[in-house]
Amino acid sequence: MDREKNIIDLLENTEAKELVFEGKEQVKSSILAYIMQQSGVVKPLYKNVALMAASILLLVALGLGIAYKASEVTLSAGLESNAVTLYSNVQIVLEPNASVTYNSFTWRFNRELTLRGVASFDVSKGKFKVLTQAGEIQVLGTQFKVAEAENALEVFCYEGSVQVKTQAGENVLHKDEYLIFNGDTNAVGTIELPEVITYDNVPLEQVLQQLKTIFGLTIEMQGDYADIFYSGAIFTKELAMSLEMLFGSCNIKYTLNGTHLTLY
Amino acid sequence: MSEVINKEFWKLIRQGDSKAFATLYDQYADMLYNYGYRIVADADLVSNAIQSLFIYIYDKRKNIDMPNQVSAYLCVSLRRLILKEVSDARNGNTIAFDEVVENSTFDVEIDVERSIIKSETDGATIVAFKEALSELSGQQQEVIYLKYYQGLNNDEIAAIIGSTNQVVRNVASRAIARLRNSDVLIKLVAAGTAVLLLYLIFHK
Repeated sequence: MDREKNIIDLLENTEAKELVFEGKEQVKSSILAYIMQQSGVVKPLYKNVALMAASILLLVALGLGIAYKASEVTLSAGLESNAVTLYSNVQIVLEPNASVTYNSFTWRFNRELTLRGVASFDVSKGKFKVLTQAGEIQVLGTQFKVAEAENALEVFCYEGSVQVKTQAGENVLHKDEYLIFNGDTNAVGTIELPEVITYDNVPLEQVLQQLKTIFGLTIEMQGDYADIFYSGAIFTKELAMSLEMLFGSCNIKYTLNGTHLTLY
Repeated sequence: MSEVINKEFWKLIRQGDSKAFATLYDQYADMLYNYGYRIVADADLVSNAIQSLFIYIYDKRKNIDMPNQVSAYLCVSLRRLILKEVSDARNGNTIAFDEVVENSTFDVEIDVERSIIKSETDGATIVAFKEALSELSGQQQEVIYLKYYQGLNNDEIAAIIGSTNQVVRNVASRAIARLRNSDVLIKLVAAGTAVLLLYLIFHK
């Protein structure tokens, strides 16, 4: 009887080995992403939506008058975004490494420029055309953003309307519509910041850039995260949960003080 | 494990509330993984089964009434998913699911260091106890694990292993009897008694 009691004491006072659930955060992300998809709150993901909105605010706030006498003019952003105004009625925000080239002599009767990279435009009046390798965008008094890369093109229209021509055909975009040309087809949709953004093996720094833009964070990185990739999701209305999922999955310690995020 | 799930919470689950699902997952993911991995030591398979389980609950949420004990409900569902997965992987459905269930194993494995501290028992006894536990049958280990290390009652364990309260009691009873008569534990106790006698003789 005593021995049986001893056995039960041992069972009640020992602990089973605790196994670590390595993929816990990733599984959680997958489950929540599925729920979001099923509940219909996930919209097509496009890049830098919030950055684009911030850029437009920047456009309104900033305006630089630049006059060029040379006929062929190229404006480049370098490593940081750059806001410029052409002839007082075309405002452009060039994102890092983007450039536009136009002819100042022909500008008076043919307002068109060639874009390399990503830029937002605010055209107050008159015809205006943006040329890219993948297609061209004809506008009439509007705010819009263009991202081009080789044979791909993304156009986001915030005000007025734009006509987009690609190899796949022509589309007219109205306010809050976007078009994505992937080299084969034009996909048109409504601009809306998705509630959930999912990632599949995306560099952590790219995810951090989006978090920064969406939540207005300042980020201090005390380590090197260049080789870290993230598969999972972030919630555009849930900062705490997003940070927990992201950094839990990447095994990175962090602190959030107000809007200042520090990674260790 | 304490159950903090109440009717209001389950109502949110039935409404498909993502935060409620996140909370449910946070509360039970580790426990489920630990249970699942003891059934089959395959991290990917168990992870996939846990994901499938929560997705299943989401898909069927409107038809799932609040379980009496959520942990037991989750365990029984996960167990079935894992064994089905094992059945499918092994034989492409040519061997019956019941056969897989019948032959399933379980490895309770205790944490020696933490058990020494918690039980205030010497290391040799804990190591011997661990060895004695590993000699139990898979079903006995599973029942012991659920009863003593997960704190489930006999009815809940019966639901998980697809049996009855009486069978669970019998299995637990036989497991304890087997532990009581375990060679390694008997030898240890005998050695301990001898050491105690020698100590008493020489310090008299």
